[in-house]
Amino acid sequence: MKLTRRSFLKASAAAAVMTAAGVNPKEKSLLSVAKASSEVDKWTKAPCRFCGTGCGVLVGVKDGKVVAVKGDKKNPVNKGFLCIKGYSLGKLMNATEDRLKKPMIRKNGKMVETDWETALDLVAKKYRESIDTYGPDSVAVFSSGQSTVQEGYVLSKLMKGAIGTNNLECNARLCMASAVVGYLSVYGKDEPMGAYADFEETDLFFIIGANMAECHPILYSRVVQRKRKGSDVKVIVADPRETRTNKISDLDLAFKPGTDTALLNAMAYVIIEEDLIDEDFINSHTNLKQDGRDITLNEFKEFLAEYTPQKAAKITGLDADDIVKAAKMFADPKRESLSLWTMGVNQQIQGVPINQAIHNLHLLTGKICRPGSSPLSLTGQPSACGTAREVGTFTHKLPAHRVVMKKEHREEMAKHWGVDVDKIPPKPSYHTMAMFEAINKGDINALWVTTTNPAHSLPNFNKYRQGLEDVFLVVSDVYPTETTKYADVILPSAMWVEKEGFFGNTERRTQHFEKAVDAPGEAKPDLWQFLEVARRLGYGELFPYKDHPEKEIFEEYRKCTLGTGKDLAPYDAYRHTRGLTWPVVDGKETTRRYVANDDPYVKEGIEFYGKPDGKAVIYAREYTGPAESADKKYPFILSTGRVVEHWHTATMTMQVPELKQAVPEAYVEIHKDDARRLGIKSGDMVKLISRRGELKIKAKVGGRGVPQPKMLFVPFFDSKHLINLVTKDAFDPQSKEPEFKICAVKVEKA
Amino acid sequence: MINNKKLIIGLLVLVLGLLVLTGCNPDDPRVKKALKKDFKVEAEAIPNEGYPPTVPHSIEDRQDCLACHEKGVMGATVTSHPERPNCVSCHVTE
Amino acid sequence: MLIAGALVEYEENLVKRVLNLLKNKEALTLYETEETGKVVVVIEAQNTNILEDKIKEIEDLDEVIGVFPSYINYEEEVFKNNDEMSLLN
Repeated sequence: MKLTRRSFLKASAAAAVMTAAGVNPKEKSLLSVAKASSEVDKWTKAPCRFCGTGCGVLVGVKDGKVVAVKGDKKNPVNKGFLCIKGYSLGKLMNATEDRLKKPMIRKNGKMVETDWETALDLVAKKYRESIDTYGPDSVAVFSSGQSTVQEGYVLSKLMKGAIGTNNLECNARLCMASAVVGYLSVYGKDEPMGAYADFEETDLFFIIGANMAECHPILYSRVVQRKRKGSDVKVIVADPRETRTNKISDLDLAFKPGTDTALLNAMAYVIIEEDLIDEDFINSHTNLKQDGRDITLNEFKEFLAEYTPQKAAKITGLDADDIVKAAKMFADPKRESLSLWTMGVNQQIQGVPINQAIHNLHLLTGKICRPGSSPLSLTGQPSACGTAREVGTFTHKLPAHRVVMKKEHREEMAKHWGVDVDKIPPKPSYHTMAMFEAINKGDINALWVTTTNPAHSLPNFNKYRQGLEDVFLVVSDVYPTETTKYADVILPSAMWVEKEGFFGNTERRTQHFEKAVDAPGEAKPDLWQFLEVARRLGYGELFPYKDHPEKEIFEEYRKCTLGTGKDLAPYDAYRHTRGLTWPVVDGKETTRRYVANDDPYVKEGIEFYGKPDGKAVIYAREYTGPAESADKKYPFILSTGRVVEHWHTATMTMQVPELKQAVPEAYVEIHKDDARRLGIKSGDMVKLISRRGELKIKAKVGGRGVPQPKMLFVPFFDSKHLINLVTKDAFDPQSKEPEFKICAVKVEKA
Repeated sequence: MINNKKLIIGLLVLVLGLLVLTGCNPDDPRVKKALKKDFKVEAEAIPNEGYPPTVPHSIEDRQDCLACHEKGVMGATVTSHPERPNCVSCHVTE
Repeated sequence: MLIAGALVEYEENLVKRVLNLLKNKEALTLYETEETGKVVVVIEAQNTNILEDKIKEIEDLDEVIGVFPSYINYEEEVFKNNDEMSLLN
């Protein structure tokens, strides 16, 4: 029987409805028609373009266009489900009107279209001039946790191995840095040791500073399903603001913003006091430290005397009983505990101490390195792990978790790249906020920004505006953004499956995606742009890739991961699987690190081999408070974050009409008591004023998020309501991550 | 294309919403029947392609989606996947 | 051309009558299911107005309990210039 395309479509429609309704067709051949029929030419797999969950997506291509997107049932991360942003990927790939399609350069104050030759020649010229006149440290690159692994690797090799500068930073400094320093300081190696498989094995979810329902929806679904299916599974949600995530909580801990350390230390106090510690584990697998010196468990106990539940209750505003309850729930020796956290914890000046305090709970109780028990830091971006952290697009890093400060690491990379070891500077130069300060000062003449939008996402942006205007700015992006407004050169770039690449997600799963469609107009992959400039700068020999650069580069990068503990598999292995979790040794991936019979680097029991003696560190860290507290003049604490519909600065999601319509503009969430006192109703225009800037914005009382009294929340996605004009750029002294979550403001009716 | 799809869903849901106005009477045999139905659907039955229909009504005072959408109360669209949590992570408002 | 799939629920003891009524409708293809009281219809329509009308037609039948749409193929629109749709916005 010859079926026309029309009848294929109809049969598919019927089959889909039946599947959805759970009924079987009378006509059995319908089932096979539905299976065989394909209103697309081919399906290709890819990790989602958005958050750090790393859901598997199947992309349906027909006649060179993306016509369908569906969840990949075979991907263990999401098992076929997506959130609304994932479902919107298909629409996004076809919203071509506003897409950047031609290179542009600034002439007499205006952006003029040009060709690639001209644009790339100009970029290379400006970089060469500056390097020759002012030295390698006069140029910089700001890349992204959304860049592919290959893009990150080429940038690292170009900046550190070729030009000879450590002026390579990325936006992951603004999101994951505190978690990175947390893992590094405690275990000696970055990134989680657990896996998503722990969701289905745990008995207690401890969610702190993470609105999972909106920011990691698919993982949130796994929490909910575990709660439903498991026996007596409990959820603690610790967050100053009430969100959709609280819907499933058994215990809410709405502590005062910035008092996380006090809460966590108090929980540690209770755990020790109630003898819920695993003393064997502490003795065998941990050292304890305070202010750089080793201490004993007793001394740690003395330190925690300042954090009794009663004392912590005063600091945090919580009930002492709730703190005790939380500690006991977490430390129950018969149950497994999984901690999950994101920006609420990381984006504070106490980001690192809070991270360490979370790890303390797991180390004191031994709830680590086993199914269901793990401290799992949730990643924000799709490849903050795979690219930013693992390839190391930071001032102080080198590929595969190496650092410039260590001589043997520089030697290893110099040998690997075939460059003189003296080329790689031994000292880190600027972290992100310092880099933009240096740009302000004129110490950096040329900056290339790719796959990120600092003019929208930097805190206290008013301070950095002049610098961006003055510097020679190259921007590679897919849509016009706040940052392209300051560009001297705009390079139209390929988006997601318009190019080939790798992303690495939260649970160390490296996933491959192939090129499915061409980029519109003259847009080109970032990788091609970097290679073209590298060659124009005279470094062609270091970048000889010809036949299949994405594969050649990945294989080159892979070689330097072998033996480091973050071993990657060969390129082809990733093509045929739904990703693999590293370290992959002898073809076998690792689900949980640091434990024998899973991690190939561990012979017996548990060993934190990142540390010389194999022991993790319990740090005694004091509660010190945020950089800017509320006072008489600025009586509110302002926090910023996201909504499920929009991704970061919404340059992509605003292109999807359904998402734009769902949340067309930002607003400020205000508690109803504060609203009443100030005479503000939902929908009223108000002015938010801080010591740094002000913003007119609509008020919202009630809704999906309710901050505690004297606290405000504004989602940061809206380019017409730039909340970062108001926020403060104070940063954690160890991670250098800014405190987006806390600054002081006052509210006036506008 | 995009607008088209949204319109269809919107209109279809509107049409169903008409049922609310016409079939508002709980004694209506159609409503009685709808409420009696027991929709047993497997978790795998969720269509994992196609755009999730948007929500045409305000959800400010309607937090429990399944109260209406599990059985199709008052003609509300019945979900093929009531066991899926976090409805609003896929179904955004209009 | 839009192709929409919907589940039609009807009173169980009226199988023959409902199926006959639906069979005779234009641009409607029936796919019977193993469950009585449920049949799947696939509607072809030029635009959303016609689609809406056709659905209403089915719902207006006394024997029909409800029409539950759950699939739309818009692929044909990706390749078409849809001026008429933009007017409706």
